[in-house]
Amino acid sequence: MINNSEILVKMSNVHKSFGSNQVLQEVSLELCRGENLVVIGKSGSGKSVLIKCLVRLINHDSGSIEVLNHNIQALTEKQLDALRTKIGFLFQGSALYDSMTVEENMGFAMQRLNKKIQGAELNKLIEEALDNVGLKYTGKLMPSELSGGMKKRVALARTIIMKPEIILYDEPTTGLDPVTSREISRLIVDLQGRYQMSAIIITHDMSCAKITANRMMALINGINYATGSYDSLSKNPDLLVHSFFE
Amino acid sequence: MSLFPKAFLLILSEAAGIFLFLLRFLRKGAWPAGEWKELLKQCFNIGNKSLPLVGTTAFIIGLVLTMQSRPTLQLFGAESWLPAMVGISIVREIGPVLTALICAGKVGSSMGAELGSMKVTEQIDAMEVSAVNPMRYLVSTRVWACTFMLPLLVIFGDAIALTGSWIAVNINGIVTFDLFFKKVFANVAFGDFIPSILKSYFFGFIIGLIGCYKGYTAEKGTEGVGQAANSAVVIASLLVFVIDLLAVQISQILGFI
Repeated sequence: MINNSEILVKMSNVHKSFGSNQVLQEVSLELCRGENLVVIGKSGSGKSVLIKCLVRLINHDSGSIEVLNHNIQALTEKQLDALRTKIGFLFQGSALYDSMTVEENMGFAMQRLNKKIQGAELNKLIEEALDNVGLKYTGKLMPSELSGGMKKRVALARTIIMKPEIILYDEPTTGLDPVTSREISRLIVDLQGRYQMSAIIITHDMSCAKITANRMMALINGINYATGSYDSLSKNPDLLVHSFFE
Repeated sequence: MSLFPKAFLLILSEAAGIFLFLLRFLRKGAWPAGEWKELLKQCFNIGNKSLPLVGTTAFIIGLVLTMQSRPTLQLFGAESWLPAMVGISIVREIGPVLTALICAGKVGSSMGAELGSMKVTEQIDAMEVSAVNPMRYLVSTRVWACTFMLPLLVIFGDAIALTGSWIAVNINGIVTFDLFFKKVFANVAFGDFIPSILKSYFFGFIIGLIGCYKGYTAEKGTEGVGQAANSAVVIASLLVFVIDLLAVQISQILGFI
């Protein structure tokens, strides 16, 4: 259920450049509670930089970013860490800790951030999160023993175990076959419905966008080029926007 | 532009990078509080797993040093000084420096490669966005494990090198184990061990810090991981000699030598 009156993320006129390369130019966006915002764009258009700026993995040059009513640039490191516990991030390459088992991956942040949840209670949460992504019996496996699709699922389970309010997906279906890609996309929608989370999904996979998007934004050459629903953007006559739907 | 200023600028920027990383380490993860399990794991990896390499190298060096020194000492009729000479050389200089160089190669490169690989596959970013302090979990545990383990490896290496020396002495004659070590310790004072062990702590700290720094700042995918591992070894080895030079000067000022 989308609540348009409650804005969780507000990005206004954000600029980011690396040397002479202007990656983001006056980008503005808003994410409402319960909404899935899909950001599409070509490779190198600044999509990943955009969501990394939201969690201050990359510092933006100018403009303002408010996440859950906090100006992220003004936060101390302690305050930023507290905010980050409410934001999940699914990385493009899954970013599972390869020296740990799936179970250890899942419990790693929880053990350190929530000292009250340990032992049997933590194991139950891990099992439940793995069950949610259809990988109940993989806890003892190492990431190297998992397929690409399974890694994405485990990474997703690792993200949702913290019960974040917002999840940022960086190309969640990249490198997967069309069937697994559809499964992951449906899983994103399913989990969003179950845990009432909001999400920004970075992708150039239009089938993923079609399944997951409540609203879409086309980021072209670092500019917020067009915004609208999947249907409205797919009928947009602009060649640059239309090329994504061909 | 000539080659010199470019190389000089590169050294300067690397030195600044190391200094800034040290400041970040001190500010964000100087002590691995709450990560004791990981600290013990790293101590095991660095200490226990380096024993065979340190032991083998130290044994060979003790053996070779004795065999090479013997003819010269024989010329002066000073063969009986062989255990003392080898003992002082090993305890004061060869033991700590050799062990540090082996660890710079083995441990420094492995840290550079491991953290570099974590960096380029976004595992360090994943830790950071989940509000876990990677400086404490990854860097602090490795740096302190290396600092604590190196002096122990030096003591182990010294003992093995002296055993190697005793075997070399026995190739051309018979000297009992007891007599050999009595001769060694009659000339090696407790004061010889203090600077040797103290500088080993600094060697360990710098090897851990450089290995983590190069891994933590790795870029450009797998190529960057290789470069991180390689430059971790080169810089750490170089800094081991710089610290050794400073340690000798300080030891002289304090009257240990």
